[in-house]
Amino acid sequence: MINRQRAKVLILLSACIAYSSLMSLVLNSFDIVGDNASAVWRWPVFCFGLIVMVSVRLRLRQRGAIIAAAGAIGLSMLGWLWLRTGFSGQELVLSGFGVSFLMARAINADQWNHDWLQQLFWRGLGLLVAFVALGPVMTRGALEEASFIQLFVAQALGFVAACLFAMMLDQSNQAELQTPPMLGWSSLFTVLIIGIPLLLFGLVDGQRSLVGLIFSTFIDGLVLIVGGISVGLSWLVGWLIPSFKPNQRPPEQLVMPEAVDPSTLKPEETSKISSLLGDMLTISVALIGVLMICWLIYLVLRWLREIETRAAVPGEAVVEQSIWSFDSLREQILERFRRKKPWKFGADDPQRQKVRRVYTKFLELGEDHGQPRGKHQTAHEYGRGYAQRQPNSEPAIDELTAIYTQARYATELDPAALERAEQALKNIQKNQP
Amino acid sequence: MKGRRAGLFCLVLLLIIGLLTDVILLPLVCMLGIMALAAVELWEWRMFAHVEYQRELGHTHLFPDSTTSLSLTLSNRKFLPLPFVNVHDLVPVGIQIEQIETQPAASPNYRILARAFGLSSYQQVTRQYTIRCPQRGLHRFGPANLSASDPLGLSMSRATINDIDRLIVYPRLLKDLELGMPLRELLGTIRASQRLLTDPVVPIGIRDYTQSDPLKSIHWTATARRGQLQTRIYEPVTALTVMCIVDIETIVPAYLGVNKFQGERLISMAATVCSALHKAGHAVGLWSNAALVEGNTAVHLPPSRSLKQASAILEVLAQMSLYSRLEIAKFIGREQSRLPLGATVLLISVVDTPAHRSALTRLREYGYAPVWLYLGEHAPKVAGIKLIHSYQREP
Repeated sequence: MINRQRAKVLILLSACIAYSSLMSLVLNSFDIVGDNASAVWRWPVFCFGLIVMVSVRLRLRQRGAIIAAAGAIGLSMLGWLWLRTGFSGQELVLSGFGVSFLMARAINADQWNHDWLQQLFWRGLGLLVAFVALGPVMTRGALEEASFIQLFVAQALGFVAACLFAMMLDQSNQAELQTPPMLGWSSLFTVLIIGIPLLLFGLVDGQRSLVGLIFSTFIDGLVLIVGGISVGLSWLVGWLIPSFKPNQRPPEQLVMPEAVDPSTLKPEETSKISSLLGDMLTISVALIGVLMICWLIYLVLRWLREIETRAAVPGEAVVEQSIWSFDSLREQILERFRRKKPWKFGADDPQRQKVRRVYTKFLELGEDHGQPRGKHQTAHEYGRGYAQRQPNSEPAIDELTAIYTQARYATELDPAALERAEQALKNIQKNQP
Repeated sequence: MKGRRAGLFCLVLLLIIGLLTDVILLPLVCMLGIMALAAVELWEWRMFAHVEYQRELGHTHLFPDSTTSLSLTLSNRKFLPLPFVNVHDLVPVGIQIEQIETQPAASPNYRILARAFGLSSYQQVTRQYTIRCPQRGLHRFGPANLSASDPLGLSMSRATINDIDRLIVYPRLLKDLELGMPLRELLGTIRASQRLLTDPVVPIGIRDYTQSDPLKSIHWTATARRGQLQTRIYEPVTALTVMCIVDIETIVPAYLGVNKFQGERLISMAATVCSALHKAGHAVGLWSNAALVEGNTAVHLPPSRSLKQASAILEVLAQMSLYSRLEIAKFIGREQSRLPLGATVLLISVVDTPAHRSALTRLREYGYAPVWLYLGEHAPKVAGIKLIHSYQREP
């Protein structure tokens, strides 16, 4: 069951991956890393922060956050001093600071609310837009390698998408909510919000598969985290057992086989049987892949169904029913149309007609904000009810109602009535929450 | 809202720039933001359009400790779904919703029933609860505050449903043990001695013949047995007219406050007596110096024998607050001219003051038959007034 805590973990994980991507991008752009294997040491600290962050987040509040952040920063500084001679420690320090910052924000339960999540989303989106728009100019061509930008943008997009999902999940897991209503529908909506731009861009761009890129970068991040944990463990073992030397194996040099031009191959050199077997293997793999996807979809659907049909709270019976009918739809359309027929009255006086149109807009505004005018209500009764809901707009509502009543029933209309009515409507719209 | 629209404008501008220039991925990022903002705007625009909220009570009148149903129905008559709608409905503190926790409200007389709804297109969701009503009173449900948000929770719209539903819980009818006296004693005490019309079908005794008696009422068998003319006595068919006057004051002087236990017992006693009198076929009316929960009118129910009179009296007693509008002696003095001739006046009070005694004495002088049902601790003695004393110590 996804709950508020898991939504937090999701968002933090995404934030860490996006952050590590940013660090990689910045450091690589200034060519600090070079051939040095400092990234091996970045991940233990990163993972340490992540593990601490996730494990103690539920138990510590303000003071705990400060202590944990201070501990992580201190550890990073020590690591930097210790590794200064042999490795590039700046990356380590930056990682430590970044993780500590995230940790301090995340652990503090008081600051974790929906508003903060929203701010995170909008600021993340703003930074992403700024970076994409201005990044090539600001770095003065340092980011020539497109893969870095793609990697960063894809991970940042993933971060924004995770923010959206986290907001959706957080919204559905408010403390006062007894059930997560419409979770499946909301998930679909969130997927659409993320997926449609990606799909459109993919269609326009033609070649790139950004969904796959985002997925792969997330997977890469997870692989790196797991690798970091293993490196951290090996470092710990090496610290406890001096004879153990972790990560001393030099990196393997990958040797790419020489490409063979298929056009140089002769047809008689390929076996028909092997070709058939290859085709069958491909088809089998594709079938297995399709079956696995179907199975995953089935699991997700069943999970959502279980959540939405979960037993109601004891003491409460829930009855859901559809009220769809063509008659109701027709009635709604006609009702809308009826509201817009002031030309039937006072057609000979365009001034009155315009005033009534302004009043009609006022009625529509009220209807859109949960204050429809009942058939039994007079204009003044409706105005009073509306003013109770919006005390700030009371003078404007009174004025508009008085002008409408004058236009509807009085023999003479004030020449400035239309302007006053429009101004009153603007004031009401301005004060609308 | 303004910031959001400004952001939307900027994103659209950047999208156009991104499409015109060769900046990679900028259109994609802008589109992501635009879609989120557009969705928020759409929801904010049409959030509460064609949304109806209804509260329905299984009964509008109940006796204490009875249960009934409370239904909250939210319907969405449009295509745009509402994923998250929080309903905060005010329920009175005197009502218990079984197995459901309520939250404290700003007013001490109310609690908040917070429920969440998720509505898809053209869907109606009804949530039903069982409520128990332990306390007498006029209980008001509502208004309800609705807050709804888009699927991401980026915007929040609020609406208030001002509809109020009322539930009247009658006073508790006391049993003989709680009354502190047999009810029959009370009814027997205030039975009138005058019999203007009689029922010739139901003879209840004989007496000596007088010259005014019609010949058809002579009991010939008894006359033969006793050797002198005997006349049948018939059951009176004219029931009593009883005006029940409830003095709501429980502490003298009134500004010292109220004794809630004695006040509730007083109202329960009045309800019990009035019900019993009405059941016995008497015309019963109710006056009181109590203030009603709603409205500032005096309690002034004229005597009636109609079937609706019992429920009318119970309704009025249910709506009574424990605070008086006027001293009972002044109240009686002001309303005395409206008393039906020959009515039995039953004063029910907890306190005993000289003003009470003088008011009762004055009533007797005007030809009424006053009876004082006194619920205080020490029974007073007033010459010429029938006094019934019933006291119960506060637990």
